[in-house]
Amino acid sequence: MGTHKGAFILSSDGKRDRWDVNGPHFAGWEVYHVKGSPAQPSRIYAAPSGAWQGQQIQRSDNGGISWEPVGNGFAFAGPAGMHRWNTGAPREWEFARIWHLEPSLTDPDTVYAGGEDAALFRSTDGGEKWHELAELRNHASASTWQAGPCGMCLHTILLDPNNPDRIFTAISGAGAFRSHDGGMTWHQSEAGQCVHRMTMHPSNPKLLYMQKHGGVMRSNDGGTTWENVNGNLPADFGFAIEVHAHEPETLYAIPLKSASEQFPVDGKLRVYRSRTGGTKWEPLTTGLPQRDCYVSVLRDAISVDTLDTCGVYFGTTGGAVYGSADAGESWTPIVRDLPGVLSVEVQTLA
Amino acid sequence: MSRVRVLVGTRKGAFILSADGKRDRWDVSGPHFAGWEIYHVKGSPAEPNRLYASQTSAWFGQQIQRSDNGGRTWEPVGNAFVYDGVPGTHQWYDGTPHPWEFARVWHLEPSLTDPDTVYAGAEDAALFRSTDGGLNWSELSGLRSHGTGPSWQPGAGGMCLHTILLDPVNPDRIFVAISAAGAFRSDDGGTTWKPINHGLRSEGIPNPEAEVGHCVHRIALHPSNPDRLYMQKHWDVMRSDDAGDSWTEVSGNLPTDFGFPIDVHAHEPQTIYVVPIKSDSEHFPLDGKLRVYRSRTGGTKWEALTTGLPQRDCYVNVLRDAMSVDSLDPCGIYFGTTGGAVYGSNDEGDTWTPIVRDLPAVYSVEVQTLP
Repeated sequence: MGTHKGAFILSSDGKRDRWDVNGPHFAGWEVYHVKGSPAQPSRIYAAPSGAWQGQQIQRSDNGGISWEPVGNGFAFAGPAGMHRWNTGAPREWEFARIWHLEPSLTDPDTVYAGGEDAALFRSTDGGEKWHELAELRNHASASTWQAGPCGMCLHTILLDPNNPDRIFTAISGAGAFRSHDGGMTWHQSEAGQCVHRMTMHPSNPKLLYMQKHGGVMRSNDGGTTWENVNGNLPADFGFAIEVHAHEPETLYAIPLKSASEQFPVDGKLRVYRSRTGGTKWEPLTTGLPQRDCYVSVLRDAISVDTLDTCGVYFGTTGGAVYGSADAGESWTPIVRDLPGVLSVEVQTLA
Repeated sequence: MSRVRVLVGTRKGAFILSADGKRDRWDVSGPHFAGWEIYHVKGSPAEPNRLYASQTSAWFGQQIQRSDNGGRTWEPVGNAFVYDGVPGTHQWYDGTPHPWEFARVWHLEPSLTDPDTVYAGAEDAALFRSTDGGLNWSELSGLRSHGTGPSWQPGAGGMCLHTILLDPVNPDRIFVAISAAGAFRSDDGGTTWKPINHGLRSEGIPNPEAEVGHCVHRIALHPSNPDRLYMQKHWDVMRSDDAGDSWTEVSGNLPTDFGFPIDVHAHEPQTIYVVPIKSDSEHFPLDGKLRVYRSRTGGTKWEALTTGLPQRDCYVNVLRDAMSVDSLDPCGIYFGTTGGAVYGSNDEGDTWTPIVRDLPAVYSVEVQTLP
């Protein structure tokens, strides 16, 4: 877990009913994201940053017991170029922080990093050196990308498990993008600019889901066309969306009231589950606060394990992490009083 | 039977928690001003149904809201906070001159006697007063212009005037505190001011015992003895017995002397409460245990209060304006966390209960004791 004031690691056996809490790592730093390598699960990358201290990247080779700082040279390739500030005025690209780290599915030393201002970087030496995949930012639309209230960040990176040349990214204020050639050229999807989160199921990487400002969307063709599947959700705003580990048509979303009121509708923290790939949704409430709850759940703060039955986990800006060991039927707070949760990732270990 | 009303300012709105004198069952109302940052909500001691709220937003700027019915309905009043004369400069973080610029109101302090008179503490640090219920605001600029103003520097949270204490015995006496300039006192109703930081010591500033430059986080007094002040600063808990003319450290056996809030028991001027925080770079309780510390001896000797508070994996913070006491017997104590919990004790801190657990991050807590 990444939080406003450090990283924490929660561990359990396969029953997932008793948890060990370890942390804070990088105490006092904002840790936007922590993620392990699918190819080598003890290799973990973390992105601590601070307004005063700047950006660091940290790497662990022993599952988070010890860490070492690696490279933090995130330089834009070529001229910085211009995008739009949140007022609409032109503004030069400037590096602020890393929002998201996506380790390669096959090589523990290859990892992608999503930046603010929006840019995609890659390291092939375990995070020591970073190179921008600049064709994304050289996309013809880039001068019209416009920062939202949280800045203009590249927050989602999806690697296609069947086609190593295919990468999806999503940028707040710019939209969703797809590359078929390992990041050399990029195609912008028609989904609109304010994409909060995108996710896919590994068994069918053409099936994509998205939570945007305006509802939950679905694409059956790898992001070329999108349809709105917000259906009976109580709001069309939210950040987090995730797919069940074993059921590509089962997905989870956490609706929030609106862009100006970023908390659950009616003070009830409800995860919504669709078993039909969207449109038809059911609220999951057992074990979640159903009154006076005004926390938010951020875009990177939900994740699933791959056990059977599938476990689902999410963290709140109020510092709680809720876990379900039964695909969302019932929930338990694993921790309640951490700093505001920025990200949650789960590793299922042998 | 008496009642209490707890006014909670949060990152995404204001909430009002109400209970009868037993203080064991609570009604929660809100969010008011949903989605806005509410730095502070406080009621008039002279007319408790008159409430003032400071509503701010990076996008929409500052509003002041007023209620005349205990928070059921609100109306926006004046939001023109204009520095008197030429604003001049203070110091930026790096020591260079920086023009005074209004950002927001951190704290509202209604007069003890007149419901239409209210003081406002601003960032960048300045003191404003309204005498018409918040419609028009004028600066008490003697504070900024008494001489040390150009040398004031911001703390990590900005350069804010966060504490305003009105002396209940001497209506001409006002105390204020500013991060990171220090504490100041006026003995003529706010016209002239002097720093009252003698005895404070702050490592990391060029002269550790300078007249100003101290990162004072909070000061508190007891109405029965307003010459005695208690202070939580960046490091150290301090006490003054002469209205701030001199200060003595009373951190004693606290596990860490960093923290933000400090408050005094309603009926025991020697009994005080703090919430120690690990350090200035790690704003959470030591060892993941949320402990309020109480001293019954005016400082120096402290005991940990833990019953009902999370004692593992707790990494929330408690901000400077987020603790308050009621005036019932036994005295009730309330504090809110950045994790959105408000804890209450109806027995002077011996035991605690979460009144709410999942509000937005709590900025401020004020209690009204009502007939």
